[in-house]
Amino acid sequence: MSAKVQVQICVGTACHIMGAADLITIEDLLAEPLRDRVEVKGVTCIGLCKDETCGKPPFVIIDGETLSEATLDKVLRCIEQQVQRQVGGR
Amino acid sequence: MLVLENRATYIRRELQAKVLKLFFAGSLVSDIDDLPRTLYPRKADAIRCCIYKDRAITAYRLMAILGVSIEDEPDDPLPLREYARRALERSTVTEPVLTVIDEGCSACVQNNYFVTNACRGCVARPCSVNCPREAISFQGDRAKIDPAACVNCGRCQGVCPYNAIVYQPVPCEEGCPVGAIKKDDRGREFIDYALCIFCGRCTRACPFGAIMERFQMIDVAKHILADRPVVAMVAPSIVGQFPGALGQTVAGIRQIGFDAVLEVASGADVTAQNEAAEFVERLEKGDAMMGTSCCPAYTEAVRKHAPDFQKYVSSTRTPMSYTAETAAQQYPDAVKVFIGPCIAKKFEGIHDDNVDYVLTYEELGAFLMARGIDTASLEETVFDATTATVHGRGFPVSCGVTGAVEHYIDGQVSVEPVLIDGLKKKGLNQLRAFGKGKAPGNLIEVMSCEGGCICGPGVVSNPKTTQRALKAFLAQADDNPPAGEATP
Repeated sequence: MSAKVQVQICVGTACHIMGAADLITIEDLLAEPLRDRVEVKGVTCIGLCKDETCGKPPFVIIDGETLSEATLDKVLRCIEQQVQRQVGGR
Repeated sequence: MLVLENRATYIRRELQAKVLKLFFAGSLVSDIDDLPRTLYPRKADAIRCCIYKDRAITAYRLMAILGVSIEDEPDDPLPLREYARRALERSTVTEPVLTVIDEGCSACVQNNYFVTNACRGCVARPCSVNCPREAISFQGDRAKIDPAACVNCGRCQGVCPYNAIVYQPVPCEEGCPVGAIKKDDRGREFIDYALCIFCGRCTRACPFGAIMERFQMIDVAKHILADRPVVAMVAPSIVGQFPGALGQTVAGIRQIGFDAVLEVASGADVTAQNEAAEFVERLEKGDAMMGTSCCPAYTEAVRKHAPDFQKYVSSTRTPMSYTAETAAQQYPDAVKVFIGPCIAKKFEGIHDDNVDYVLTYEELGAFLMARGIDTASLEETVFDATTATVHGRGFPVSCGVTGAVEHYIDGQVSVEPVLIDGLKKKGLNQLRAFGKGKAPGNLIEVMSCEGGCICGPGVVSNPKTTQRALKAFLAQADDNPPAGEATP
């Protein structure tokens, strides 16, 4: 069994206001086979909102890759890609 | 129920934060005209027909954020810097509290019923047979509704054997409980302020974001940088709006630059106590019922649309009003700013001499973002001189006011609560009927927003989350001293 996909959702104030509160519900939306392969965590402000070159909040980091203007759809797609990469890489 | 998770919300919040960032950087006037272009550069994907329209609508949004009443401006508006300059110079805010971006209105359907291509142009044609206005004709092999003749009765939809006729709402009109938003002769919406109760539902219902409140953030921001002290009066629905504990949000408000932070739940306790006394007095005098008084959209709805009920509405003042009075005594030179979930409070604030400005939590959020404040990382601080109890703090959910008033009535008379949770056409009809002197109970609680203040248009967090947060907060604050006994 490979390591779980790490999903870190920034729940700092800027990300929260711009939609992170909604993103936290993503665990409920994961398809059954994905659930055991993904670990979702809310993390304190990661400071990306202070640097406009990083894009716009809300920010989500998936296995080290930063998503800006994250939406449920964007995050789900990225998780699926990541899981597939892991499965393919084995 | 309110759903805020959408792009219109995102755009609105982003623009608010950008405007305040410019303000605090000292470049509001010099740079605001660049915002529409930097947000929609030449290579951007247009949301509307083209980036030029996106930029134009963005400019109108920025006008609303600067507090402008767009309807009053010329067809070809002034440069944004001119509106920014005016915002920085004005000393008061004016009515109305809402504004319509008519250029942004998509002029939704005239008629709510629409024949889809599922229509098979059948022989029976029950749609046209049952139409009371001869509005349905057949073109080719499909029914067509004549918008000029149709009266939106919906019979055609009910009788179509193929479910081929759909109901298409006009979201703003659907959201408006009093029929105050209407189409002009081009099909674009406008607000009839003689009917409007300022509940603000249309602003969040319009999928094009074409109706906005007139923001007061610049007015507050300039006072924060000026000499007079600025006092924040924060509504009880603040619990759970921002990350971290309530004390951390209070700390965040201080860090923005507010000199004192008062808890409006203190005023809510006074409202509940006075409403309780008034209720007992009214019932003893023979009144059939009493209506609560704290929701400004509902009291405006009674004034404009259910005048017979007016005599039953409690004459007790609102939590904001009591808190502002205390603030005026404690901080006589201060600028007093109410912060809450409510757009109608902006209207109430204009009519309350003790209240200078009213911000929503969204506007407060823009301040936090512009100032780069992360609430969850702050040391907790407490409200200044609060006397609030769980009763006042329980106001912002439906049944909360009733619970608090019942607590202070303390069994002196029997209370039979009636709840109108979310003011819609039906609730208004109920109030009109109660106005004739008969109701299924004697204490009528009305909340314009379904679910109570935590579901107001100006909230930041999903009401499901804040409801849980408030419950937990009340359970933990259970041992607070009752009003009046707290040490100052």
